[in-house]
Amino acid sequence: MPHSPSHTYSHSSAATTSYLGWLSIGIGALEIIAPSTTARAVGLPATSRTLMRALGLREIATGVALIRNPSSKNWAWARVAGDIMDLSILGKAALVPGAPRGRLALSGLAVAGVGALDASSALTKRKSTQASDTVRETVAIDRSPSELYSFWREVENLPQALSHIESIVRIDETRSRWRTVPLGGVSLEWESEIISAERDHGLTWRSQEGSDVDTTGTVRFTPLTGDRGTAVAVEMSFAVNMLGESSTTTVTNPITKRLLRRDLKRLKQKLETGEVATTDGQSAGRRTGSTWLDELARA
Amino acid sequence: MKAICWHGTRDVRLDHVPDPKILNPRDAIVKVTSTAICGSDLHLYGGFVPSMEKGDILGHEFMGEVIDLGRDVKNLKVGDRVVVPFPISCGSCFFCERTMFSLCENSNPNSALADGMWGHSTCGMFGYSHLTGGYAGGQAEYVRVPFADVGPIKVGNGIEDDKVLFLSDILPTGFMAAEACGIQPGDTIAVWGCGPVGLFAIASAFLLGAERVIAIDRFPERLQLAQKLGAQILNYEEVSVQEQLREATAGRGPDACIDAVGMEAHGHGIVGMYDRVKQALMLESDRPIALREAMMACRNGGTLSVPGVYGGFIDKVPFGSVMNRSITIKTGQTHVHRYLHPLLKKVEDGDIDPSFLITHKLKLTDGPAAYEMFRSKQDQCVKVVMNP
Repeated sequence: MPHSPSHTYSHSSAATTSYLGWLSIGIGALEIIAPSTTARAVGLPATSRTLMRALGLREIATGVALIRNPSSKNWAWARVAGDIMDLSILGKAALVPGAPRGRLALSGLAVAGVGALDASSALTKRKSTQASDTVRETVAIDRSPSELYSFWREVENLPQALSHIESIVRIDETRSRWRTVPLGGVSLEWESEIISAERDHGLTWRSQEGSDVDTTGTVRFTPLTGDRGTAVAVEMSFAVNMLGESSTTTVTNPITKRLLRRDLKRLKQKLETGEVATTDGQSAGRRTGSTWLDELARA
Repeated sequence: MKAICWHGTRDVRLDHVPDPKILNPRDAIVKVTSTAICGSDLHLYGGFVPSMEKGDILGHEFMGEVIDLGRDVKNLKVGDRVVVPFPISCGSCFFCERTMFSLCENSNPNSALADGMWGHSTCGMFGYSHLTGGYAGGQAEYVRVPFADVGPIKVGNGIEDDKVLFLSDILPTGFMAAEACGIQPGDTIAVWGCGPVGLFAIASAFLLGAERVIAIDRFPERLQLAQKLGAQILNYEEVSVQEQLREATAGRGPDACIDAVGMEAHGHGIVGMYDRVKQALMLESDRPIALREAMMACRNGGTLSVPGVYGGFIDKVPFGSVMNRSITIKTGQTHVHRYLHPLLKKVEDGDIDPSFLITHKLKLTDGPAAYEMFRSKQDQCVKVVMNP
C-alpha cells in the first residue's frame, strides 16, 4: 500500500534533516582538524588552511543549529547558501592554471549533490502540507493505444524497456513476480498485481503488502491528435521497505522520476525501431566503449 | 584497428583500439576508405564542446565498404560502397517521417544529457561528444554504423571517393543553408566564413538562383576559392563589413545572410577581446561574432541562415534588431538524409564537383598533426581527407 502523504513526509524530512546536520558537523570537524589534507583531497591548494578552518566553523555552526531546530526553514537554507559558497570557491580554484581540474570537478559534483539534498530538504519544509507521493512522466510513442496496451499486458515484455528490472514472471492473469538487477549486491523482489484495467486505455498496479518494495502506479494510453501516435503517461510511487524510514518516497521520488523517464524513452525506442540505442561494447581508445557520463545519462 | 582518439584539449592521438562489432540488429560495420576532418571537429579539438571523454573516437565525415551487417539490415549487402550521413536516424519516428532526420527521437542513448543542456535532445551523431550519444566516429579503419538500413547511401564504383565523401556532411550542410534562404531572382546573399561549409553554401546559392553572393573571411586562400565560385569577396580585416554590405546593396542589406562560422568566430578589436575573455571565464560557451554581424547586416524582412555550430550560450545578441526588423532565423544540424539522393545526382551529372576544396590528402596516421595544421590554418589548409 502507498503511504499516506503526510505520514511519508514527517518521517523522511526529520530523517534527512538530522542526517544533513550530522554530515555538516562531520565535514566541519575534518576541515578544522586536518585543513591541509582536506584541502588537497578536494583539489584546493594545501595552503588554504585558514580558509578551510573558516569553512569548518561554518559547517559546524549550521550543523548544530539544524539538529537543534529541525523544522527551521532558515537553517536548511543556510546550508544551501554554504553549498553555493563552496561551489564558487571550487570554481575559482579551477581557473588557476595547473589546477587539478578533474579533482575539483569531482568535489564540485559532490557539493552539488549535497546541495540538491539540502535544497530539497529546505523546500520540503516549506511545502510539507502539499506533499505529493507520486511522480509523473509522459512520452509520445508512434503506436496505437491498443498495441501499447497489449505490449504492457504481456508483462514479460517489459524488462526490454525497464533497465533495472531483471525479470518479470507471470503468475496468473493479473499477478506477476518482479525482480530487480542486483543493486549493491542485493536484488529486490515483489509481487505486483493489476488492480484495475481498462482495455486499450490503461491499467493500475500495486505491490503486495509486506514485499521488499512498496509501489503503485497507473499507466494511461491516450491517442494524440493528427496521427501522432499515443501519449503514454505513467504516475507512480516506489519505496524500498527494507531500508526503513530513510527510503520513503521523498528520498526515492527523484530517482524514480529519473528512471521512469529513461525507461519510457527505451520503451519508445524498442517499439518504434525494434532496438534500444546503445554504445555499450563499442570501440574506444580506453577500456570501455561507454563512460561514466553515458551511465549517468542512461541509468 | 587504428583510430584517431580525443584525449583532451588540443590532444588527439592515433590509438590502437579493438575493432568494432555489431551491437544492434540494424547495425553495419563499414571499412573506411576515406574520412575527413570537419571544421566542427575543431570545436572538439579546441575543447569548446562539453561532454567529450578521453578515448572518444573522432570523425563524422566518412565513407567505405560494408563488411558486416546486423540481421535486420536488408537493403545493403557486404561489399557495398556507401557514404554515411553524420546524423544517426531511425527513419520512422515523428521527426524522421517529416524528414527532420537530425532530430530523430530514437538514436541518442544519452538524450537525458541533451535534454538538460538544450531542453530537448537531437539525434545521435558519430564522434561528436556524449551529448549526442557518445558514438564512436569514423576517423578509424572501421566504424559501427547504427540504423544502417536508413542512413548509408550506395555509390557506384565509377566515381572516386573525393567526389562523394562530402555527401556525409558539408555538402548537404552548405546546401541546406542556402536552401533556407528561400532565394528569389535578383537576391544578394552574404556568407560569413569561407571554410568548406561556407564554400558549399556559396556554390549552392548560385545553383539555387542567387544573383550575387558576397563572401566574408580573412584568409586569402579561402577568399580566392570563394572568388573562383563567382562570389564577390570581403576581407574583414581590411574593410568594414557593414559598410561594404550597405554599399553593395544600395543601403538595404543582403536579402539573406549565412553564418557559416559558428561558435569560435574570430573577432578583432574590442568585441573580439570581449568574447574571448567571456569564453575563457566560462561566462559564455560560444563566441557569436559572425552571428551578431549577420543579424545587423541582414535586410529588413530577410533571412538569417545558421549552419555554423553553436554549443551553448551566447551573449550580447542584438535580438531587438531581429524582432523589430522581421528577420527569420533558420538553423539546425543538417538533415543530411534528405539531400543525399538529389545531391548525389548533381555530383554524378557534373553540376557540382565537391573535391575542389581538398587541400591535403593524408594517411590516418597523419591525423594528429593534421588537426593542428587545420586549426592554425598552416599551409593554406582548407580541407583534410585521410585514407586509412
